Amino acid sequence: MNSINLRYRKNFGLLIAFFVLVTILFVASTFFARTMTTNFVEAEFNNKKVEVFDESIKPFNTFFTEKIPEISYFQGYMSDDQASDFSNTVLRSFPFVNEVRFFDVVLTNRDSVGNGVRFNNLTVYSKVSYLYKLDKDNRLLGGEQSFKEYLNATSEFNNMMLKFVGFIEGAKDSTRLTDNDIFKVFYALQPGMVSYLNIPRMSDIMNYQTMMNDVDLPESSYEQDLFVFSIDPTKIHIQNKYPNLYEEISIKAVVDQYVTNDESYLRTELPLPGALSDYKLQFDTSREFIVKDINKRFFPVMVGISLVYLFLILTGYLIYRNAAINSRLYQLQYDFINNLTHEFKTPVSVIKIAGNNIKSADNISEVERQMYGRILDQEADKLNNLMNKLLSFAQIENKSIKFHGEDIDLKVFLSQFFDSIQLKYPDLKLDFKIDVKSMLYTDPVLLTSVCQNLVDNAYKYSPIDRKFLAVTVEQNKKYFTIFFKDKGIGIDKREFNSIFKKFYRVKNQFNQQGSIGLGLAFCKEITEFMGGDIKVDSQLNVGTTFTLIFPVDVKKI
Amino acid sequence: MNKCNKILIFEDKSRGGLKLMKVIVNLMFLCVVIISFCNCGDRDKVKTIPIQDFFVKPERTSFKVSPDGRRIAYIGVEDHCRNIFILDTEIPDSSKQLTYEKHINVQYFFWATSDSIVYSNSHSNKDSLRLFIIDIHTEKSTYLIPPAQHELRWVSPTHAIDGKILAQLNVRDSTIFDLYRIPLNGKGPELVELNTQRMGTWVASMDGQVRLAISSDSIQDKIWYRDNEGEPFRNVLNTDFISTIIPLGPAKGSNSSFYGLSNIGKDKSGLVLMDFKTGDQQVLVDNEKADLNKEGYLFSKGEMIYTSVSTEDRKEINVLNDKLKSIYQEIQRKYADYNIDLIDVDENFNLVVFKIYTDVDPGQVLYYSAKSGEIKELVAINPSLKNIELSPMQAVSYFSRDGKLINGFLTYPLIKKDKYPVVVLVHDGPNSRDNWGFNQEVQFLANRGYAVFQVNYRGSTGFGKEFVKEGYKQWGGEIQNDISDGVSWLIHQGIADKDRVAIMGTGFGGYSALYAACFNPTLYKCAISSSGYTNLFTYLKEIPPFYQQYLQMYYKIIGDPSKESDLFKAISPLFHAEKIKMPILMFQGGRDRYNSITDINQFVQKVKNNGGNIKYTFFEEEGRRIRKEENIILYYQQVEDFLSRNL
Repeated sequence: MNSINLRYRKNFGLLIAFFVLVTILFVASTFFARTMTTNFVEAEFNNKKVEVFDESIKPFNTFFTEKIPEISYFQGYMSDDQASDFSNTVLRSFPFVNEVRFFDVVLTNRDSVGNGVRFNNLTVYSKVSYLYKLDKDNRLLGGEQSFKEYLNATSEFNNMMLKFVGFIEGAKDSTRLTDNDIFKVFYALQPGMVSYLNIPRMSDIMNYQTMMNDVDLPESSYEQDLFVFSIDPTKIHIQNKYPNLYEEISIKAVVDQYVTNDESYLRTELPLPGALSDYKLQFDTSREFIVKDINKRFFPVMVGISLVYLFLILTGYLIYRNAAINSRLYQLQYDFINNLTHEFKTPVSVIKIAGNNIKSADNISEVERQMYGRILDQEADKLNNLMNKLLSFAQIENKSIKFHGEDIDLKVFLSQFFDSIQLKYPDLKLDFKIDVKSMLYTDPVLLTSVCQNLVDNAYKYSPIDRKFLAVTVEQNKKYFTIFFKDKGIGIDKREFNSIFKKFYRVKNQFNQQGSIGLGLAFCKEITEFMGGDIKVDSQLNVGTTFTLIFPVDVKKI
Repeated sequence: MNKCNKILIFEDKSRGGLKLMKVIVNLMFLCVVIISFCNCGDRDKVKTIPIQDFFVKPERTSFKVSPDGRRIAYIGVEDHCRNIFILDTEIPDSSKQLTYEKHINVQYFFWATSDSIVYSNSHSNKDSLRLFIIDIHTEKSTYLIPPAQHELRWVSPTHAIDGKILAQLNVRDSTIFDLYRIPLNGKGPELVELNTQRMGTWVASMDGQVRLAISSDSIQDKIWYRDNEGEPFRNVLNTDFISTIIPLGPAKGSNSSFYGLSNIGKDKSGLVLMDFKTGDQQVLVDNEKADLNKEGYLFSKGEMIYTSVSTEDRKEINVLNDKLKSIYQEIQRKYADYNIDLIDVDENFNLVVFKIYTDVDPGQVLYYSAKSGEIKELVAINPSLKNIELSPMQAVSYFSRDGKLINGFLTYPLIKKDKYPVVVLVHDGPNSRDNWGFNQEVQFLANRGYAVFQVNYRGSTGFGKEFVKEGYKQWGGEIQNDISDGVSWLIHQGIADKDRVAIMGTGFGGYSALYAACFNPTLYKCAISSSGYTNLFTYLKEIPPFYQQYLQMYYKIIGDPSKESDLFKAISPLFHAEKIKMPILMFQGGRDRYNSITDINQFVQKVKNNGGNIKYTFFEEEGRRIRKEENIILYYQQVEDFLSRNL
């Protein structure tokens, strides 16, 4: 049986496997995303054409559904001036209208009229007809149609009138003009041509019918307006809403005789409706063009995937770093136990030797007894000190100590403290300057132990010939500041941050024994617990200054 | 065990129900508290009268006194059908229902003799002609003439002389009305003479012989006279359509003298007595302020019994006959605060039917019996508004921008305020006018808290011919300015809240409202149009085909669409629909002939396409004015809702 290795382990194989897996995933998804984007763009190429179509055809729809019905507003009263005005607006605002023909149609029951169509008593003829168009310089050309021009359009005129008269004949009093009637009778759509006859009121239609059937009516005549618009679909302005998708959109005849060689990469088409139906919209795009668009869309996807990839890699790194820190901590604790054992061992072995010596001695002289007593006392103190430190640190860590605050006069408090220091370290040259105005509210026991620690350190890390300590206490509006300045060996700047960490020890000859790396960590914890702050400033081989800062206004608990 | 469970479940449910009940009860209590709190604040508020109470149709109408002065015939509704009833004032027990129509409404009737009544019934005005004569004693009804498709126009006087009544019939040609006498015995019309000179009006003398006739080509009227029937007519006078003589009837004791209203050579029409044989003309009554109303002539006496004039305020009646005057004064004493309109009398003033009303009281129709000396009620016009406080109507006048004095009426809501939201109610026409008196539409609006402003803009009738003439070719021009200047005047007087003015009307009034919506967007907040003219090209096209001659008159009043099409374009709202930004409420009757539905649809569509707020209701069965009760109520509900939202 293999015993389980309980030691702290690091497995780089696992990390590498993770890294490789994530990278494979990254490559695969990149490839997949690329394919998807390509498919998507090609599908859009086919779908978005309807929107382009709608947008481009809009002016024609406006012309057809809004502009043309305006003719009816005039109720047949349109004169050549009005017609010219109207044609002018139409020709200018709708460039796909090539020509406008206007027929001033007369419906009458009079007999003797010239060119016209006669139905029973009703004669329908064009009193006058005009042709309007724009010349090259966009000036309106208008005038009465020549006979030849008239003949060209006469079939349109006749068709419209036949439809109209047919409707008049079939109309009844109760007939209502439905939308369907209107479209069938008053509009005529042919490729390239829209005709419109103004829609009279139902009562007018009944009048026309009476005129048609009743021989005895007094002579009267009515006017209707007929417009014939020639449409050139190629002049429709194409609104390319998706210039990224369609490289070229063109209007082509539906029957395209020429087979072109330059087959484009993608092509789709849509036939135009109604009067435009002999033309279609054709959409072309070359490969380079569409790739540009695919790339543009692919870029953000790529960024997304990369971010996920980076995130995964970062997570891996963080896990690795965490493991490394834990391993170092493990090492520190191991060191600590080593140290601690060592610290305990020395006094214990001294006590043991002293005990053995006393046991094995036949009689003990007064000098010996004094010596052994002192040794035992000293070593027991050392052990006690160690244990106190450990205990109070554990308390602080668990937040189980209580704060017993009271107002302290720093002058009195510190002079008492220095007296006890002088007793402990008779060879320490102590110099203090206290300048405070008010009382400091804090826990005196905790403050004493912080100061004790700092003084201990100052004493410990000073060479024998430089055991100095200058303590300065100042007070400004907000803070009490206590400086402990020694002339010891100093601390390297790089270690300023580390010295307050648990179990950390600066390596030098002064702490070969009797240090467990808890003193300053303890001071920091306590000071912060009391609401203050601790700082360090030092120069190697010159000296170190520790600064305690406490706020003046403390919320009393 | 199962039972137990069920019971438990039931209990649970009932507990839930109880909780819900508690919540509901609490909520209701809260509501009650809130409502009572609101009521406390508004205790001095005027009661909102339901819409239908304003527009109640009177139960009885068309009161006519029999020639012998004993009975009053009227139209009442029985079996959902208009029927003739007879009230016997001497023996009340013999009062009775005369006709028993169940499907076809009696349209009109008149006393042919003291014992018989001629009436016509039809479903609509396009129905065939059905004329009956009914004996009031035997209740036997026979055809006066056989039913026919042609039209008939009665010629005054509408009662029998020598057993025959005069009428015009277009039997020969639908466009020409020849003169006939129709005997009461049902033997069929007898032709008096062919209408070869295109006479429009015929007037009989006291003996029933037709001696006076008027022909018209719309611009010029020609008056013709002859000494006896059978002789040719002589042209005795020519007038234009602005300066006219309207014959009222022959004067007693002469075959050549006729009463008439004339404004020839003066601005306001007054009462004249004209002898067409000698050409003498005698001015009898004149009023400096306004035209005399076309009423007050009694054929059976051959005299003017009273004249009336509607000035800018109340209607004034001046009784000329001494006997009637004393009766009238007696009535006046009894109804001192009321306006009294005479409706019908008999030759001897045995019975006088009259109507009393004020601006805040729809009033009653009553009759006075000379025999008993008593006054009795025939019908209350709008009983549901009896004893309810209504808003008085004030005559106001102001100067338009060109210094013209314009009259109008202002009706304040009952709650006093510093400034009122105003509804400008533009009358139809424009050849019509607003009068002082009870007006249900005005009262409805005032009751809803709006001050109602009515304007007799130039072109309105009754203020003399100059005033009418000034309205010619001013559609959307000075006419509109008069209305707008009235609103500005109200604002300057501190009466109108300048941000809360609405304009509303029917026909021409609707046109004016739509015009304002296009061109006066800052003055008015919103507009309501009921069959308002949207397109004046269409309006002019309505002049029927065979009355082309009338077009000339319309060309003068509105304009010539073929020569002045720019003007027509400029003043027709349809051409400017895209300018409309204010909220519009629009109604259209399917049978209104002055608008085409295609135009209206285009108009509504155009406003909507431009993001305008337009609410449009189409009443297929209605004409220009809404007649059906349910449609009237729907109409005013929508008006109320629209105004409360937008004003």
